[in-house]
Amino acid sequence: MAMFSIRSFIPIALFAATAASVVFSPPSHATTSHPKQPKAACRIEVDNAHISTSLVKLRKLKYVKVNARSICNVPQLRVTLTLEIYKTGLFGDHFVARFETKEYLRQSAGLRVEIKDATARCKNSEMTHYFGIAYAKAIIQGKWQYAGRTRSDGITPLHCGT
Amino acid sequence: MVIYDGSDEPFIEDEDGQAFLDLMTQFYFSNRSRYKEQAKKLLLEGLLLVPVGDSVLKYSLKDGCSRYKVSEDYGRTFSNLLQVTPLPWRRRAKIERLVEQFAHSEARATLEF
Repeated sequence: MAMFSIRSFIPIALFAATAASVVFSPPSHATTSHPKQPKAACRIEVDNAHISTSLVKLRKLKYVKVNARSICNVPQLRVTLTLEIYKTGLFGDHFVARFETKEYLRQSAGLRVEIKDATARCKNSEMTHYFGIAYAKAIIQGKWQYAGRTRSDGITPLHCGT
Repeated sequence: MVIYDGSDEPFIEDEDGQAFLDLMTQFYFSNRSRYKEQAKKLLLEGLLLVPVGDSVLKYSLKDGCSRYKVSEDYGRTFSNLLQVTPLPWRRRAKIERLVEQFAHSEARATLEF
């Protein structure tokens, strides 16, 4: 089972929901009542880096790949989920690539928005340690919400030099 | 931070993930000569527009990285940056990295947009 790390939108979302209810709640004598919105509980998950392969016409390519997703119990709109792949090195971490979901795409809305195409091709079999970092912004319950940087649970050693 | 050896765990991609990998690999091999020419042009001019179906992919170079956006209204407006990849120093390695980015972006455009 893939391990992943979780960062929640919850503190920001709850704050926003609370602030909205203070500012916009109808007066007590109001005759119309609006259905209460559920509190948003959202999170980002970042899987550990792994190796994936593809075989086309007997020619095989090997990739390091990281998957990430933004999951929410209420609909998310215009989700920009950003995923960065890093490898560890002698003088700190090295940036490998950055991927983003497209804001207005149909797949960038809903309860679950995923990045499943974050890859970098392996040039050789040198042992290298990889991890992913993801962050997101989205419209949740009518307001822009931001989720901070969430890192893979583990740094994964893979036989994949990039 | 946990450090563990994940090499014992075979990872099975889901259908979408594997379809993307296969298409990208197919593009990498079948469009290689076109991608190389595109890479040379991008390195020379710093900007490149490539139509893919109804979309237009716009590649540019900045801060030693190659990046791209997509337009679905014939280049009038463009999306957020969809991918940023640092380029190596050597020209041959740069071209190879760009070939990979072209295969990646065209596979994504074909399946997503």
